[in-house]
Amino acid sequence: MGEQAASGDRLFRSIEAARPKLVTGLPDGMLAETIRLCAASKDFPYIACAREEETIGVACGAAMAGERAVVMVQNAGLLNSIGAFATMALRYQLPFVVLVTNRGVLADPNSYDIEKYMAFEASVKTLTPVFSYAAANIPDDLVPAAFKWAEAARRPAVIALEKSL
Amino acid sequence: MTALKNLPSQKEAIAAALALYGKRPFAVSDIGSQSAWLKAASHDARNLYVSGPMGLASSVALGLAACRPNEEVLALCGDGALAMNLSSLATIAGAKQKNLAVLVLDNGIYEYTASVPTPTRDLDWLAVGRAIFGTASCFNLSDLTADRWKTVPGPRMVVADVAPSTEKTPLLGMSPAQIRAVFLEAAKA
Repeated sequence: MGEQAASGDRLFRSIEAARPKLVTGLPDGMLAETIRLCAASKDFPYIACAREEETIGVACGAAMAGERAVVMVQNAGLLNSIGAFATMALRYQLPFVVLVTNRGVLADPNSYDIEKYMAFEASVKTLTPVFSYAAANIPDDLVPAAFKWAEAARRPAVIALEKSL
Repeated sequence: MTALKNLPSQKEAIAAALALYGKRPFAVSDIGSQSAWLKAASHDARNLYVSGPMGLASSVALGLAACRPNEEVLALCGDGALAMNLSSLATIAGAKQKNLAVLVLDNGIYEYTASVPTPTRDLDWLAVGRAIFGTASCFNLSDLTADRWKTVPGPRMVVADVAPSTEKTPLLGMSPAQIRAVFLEAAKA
């Protein structure tokens, strides 16, 4: 198993451990293996959305019913969703977990990702706390812990997964 | 949309759509006139009034429907609102969420925003719905009865041409915290 596949598998097991009612998202290269595993899971549905803003709505629908939902998107996708995130998730104080790949960090210097990183730093981090972790070294209890935080804080827990040097 | 003559009001169309169901469905309504007229037509603990983002009701309804597969869920969307989240229709079709229906309330205007015309005022919503969900799953509200509705396979879409309101849109009068608390109790598994 390659490094990316292994970290994708670890993230999937952490999601599984949180026992979500649904997982939703859009692809990013760093999330591909986890999405594949979620789509194959018999424990919860994976809802593949056409646009990132929808994932926030889907998660809010689950949270409104008192159920756990996980969102997986790239940083550019969460930027697309800030309106929904603020006016639905924050306004209604809805707990769910957002796993966002924070592309364009120092160890991930694709030229087309740099502005995404800068915009994410400038906008999302001023709106809500963001907890950053190395994608290659995800703690087993990351997603369960994120749900505990979200449910205590009554707001989404945003976890930024980043490449590291 | 069709000629305005003899069209139902938004409130009447919402009541007619809810009457298609044997058991009261969960109803998720978009911000503005859909939430206001849903409350006026049939206030119920199973109503989820989305009072923040415009156009997100169909996506919120999908998340709810996925979590409550044994319940029916109806998303109430204005034509202007749904145009903001048109891709959600493709997502719902792809998810094959059988217990979810989308009601498009087409008055050709942004009723809550000074009745400015919507860019979709000439769009054939029935053709859009049939292209996405199939001809067997998308109908005009005026062509449906409760008996026929039971046979329509989900996910479903219903198009209702409605008249622009001649009366002032009522205020929702509920805070997000109130909406969440009431709905959470009704939506408990």
